[in-house]
Amino acid sequence: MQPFFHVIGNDLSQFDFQLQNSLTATIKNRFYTYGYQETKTSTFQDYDLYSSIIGTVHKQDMIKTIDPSGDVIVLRPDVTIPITRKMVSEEESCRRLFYVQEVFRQPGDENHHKEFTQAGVECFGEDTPENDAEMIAMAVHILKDLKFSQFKIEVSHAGFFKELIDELPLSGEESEQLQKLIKSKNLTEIEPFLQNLSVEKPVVKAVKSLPMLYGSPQDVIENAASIALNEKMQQTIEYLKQVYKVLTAYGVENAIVFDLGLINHMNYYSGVIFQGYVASYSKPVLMGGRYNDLATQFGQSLPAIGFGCVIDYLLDAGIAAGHLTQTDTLAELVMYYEQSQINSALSAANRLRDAGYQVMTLNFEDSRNNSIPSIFTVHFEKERSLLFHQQQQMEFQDIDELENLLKTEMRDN
Amino acid sequence: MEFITLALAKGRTAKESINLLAKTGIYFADVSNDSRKLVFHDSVNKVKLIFVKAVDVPTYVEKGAADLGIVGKDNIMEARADVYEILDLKLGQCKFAVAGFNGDPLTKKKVLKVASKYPTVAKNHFNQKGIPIDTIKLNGSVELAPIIGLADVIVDIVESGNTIRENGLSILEELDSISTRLIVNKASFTTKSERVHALIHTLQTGLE
Repeated sequence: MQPFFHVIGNDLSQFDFQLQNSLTATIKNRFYTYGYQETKTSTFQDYDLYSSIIGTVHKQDMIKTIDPSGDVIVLRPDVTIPITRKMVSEEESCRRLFYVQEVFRQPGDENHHKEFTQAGVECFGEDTPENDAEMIAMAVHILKDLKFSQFKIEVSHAGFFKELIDELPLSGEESEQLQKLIKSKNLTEIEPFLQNLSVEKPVVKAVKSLPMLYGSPQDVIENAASIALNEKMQQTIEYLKQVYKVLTAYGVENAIVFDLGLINHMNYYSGVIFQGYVASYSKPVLMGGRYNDLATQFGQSLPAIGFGCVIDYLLDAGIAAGHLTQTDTLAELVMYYEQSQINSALSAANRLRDAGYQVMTLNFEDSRNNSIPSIFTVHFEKERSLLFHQQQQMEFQDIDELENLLKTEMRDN
Repeated sequence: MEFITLALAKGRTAKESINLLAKTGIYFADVSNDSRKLVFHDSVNKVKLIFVKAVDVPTYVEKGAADLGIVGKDNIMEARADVYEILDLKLGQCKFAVAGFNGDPLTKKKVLKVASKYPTVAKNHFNQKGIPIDTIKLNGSVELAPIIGLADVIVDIVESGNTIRENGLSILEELDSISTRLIVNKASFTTKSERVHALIHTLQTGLE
């Protein structure tokens, strides 16, 4: 048979998968403690759904397939859109949902991954600074849970930029160009770009300062207020101020920077947006924001906010930082038996499994050359039965006695 | 204090960049042009300098292997790296240009063959003009391509235009201006903000 050395997907080694598993469990638990309920969406989604809805995925990034009737299907390129659709169609449902699911994207370069695991939350029906701050605080909480010592959440507001750009006479292409310059904080080229447009001085000043409205929330709020051009922009700043106040009440203000030059997916987000970086990892490990307009596209008004963590990035960053460790590589209990003792051994194993122990059984004959490292070892021999633990050897007569010995040993260690 | 890493493009602007850094007090004692060493330290300011091929600087910075980078706009445009492009260091100023034989091959109605070290830049430019092209990626002596019929025109950086003229070509169109820029990794900008912002500020004052 031809060996398949060429790897298409990104299978993790068993060791890394264990790490990923414990990382995911930590995140799930944190979502749970904030009152979120797990949900699931189908791997197969309707292409037309994603191509007609304004979301965060480009058509060319979706992985498509065709079903027998000729309809185009995509492998779930994002989780928020199907969850929102479900929310809109269900009468009474939980309004705080979380998920841990794979998302699929066609990479620009075939060497890059097509599949990512995402862990995210969506909260529907609320639209307050408190709700926004809770989301951000939860993101901070998760990065703390995962033991990242240095990380920052950048917070921005989609409204501020939108209201600013409304003051500019821009074509679609020019608007895109300006967004690119702001995203790369390219002050050198913003000025000549604006000069060609013949816009008023205060507007030029405001656009020019946008990329550098970055840093401690108080400073950014103050500087932003000085360039605000209209009532709406003032209100947005006022709103951010309130969000910051709540973040301070959560005690997470040290992990927060404001960056009003953060303007990703401006068609999709409607309010607060944020993304998280951990030290020495070049990609944002989580991102999210308020998307009040998405449900409207399904014919219902339903405010919503959410964020997603990219598990693959968190895993890479955690391994690089060296603080992800596997908890138990040892088997709990391994039982060796002589052929004549098979009945008592296997029934003992089942009793212990029912009691919650992890038990593996091996015939002495088969196990000569391969013993399994374990915390407890049990021998069922013809003459006697033995329990080994930490260089001690204890004899027992029956299963009850074995269970008692195990209990004592577990308690004492 | 931890070192922060600055990637510097080898080649025509390296010396000027080193001089600019020295002017602002960031000094690498053992840097000299003929040295083959690639890593240098300023242990006072805690800056580690790495010499990298110019086209690779945006990659080093985007991936976070370097916190900051000094490199020409031409390489930034070609790499389309997701980085902050904070300062214009105003070194190595030149222009992108389309060059070829006189007689305007640009208006002929056919697929234009374009040779360049910068295929992405070439593609973007002609896309915007709505001219269909085939790009041919070359790594040097690009002027040769029209002469021997490999391509109709070239897209390259032009300083004086001498090389173009000496090879019997002329500049058909001037595109974006280019100069050396300071680029910054987006994560470093945030997670190492104190150090990174201080260095940006130092360089900014050095420019004034």
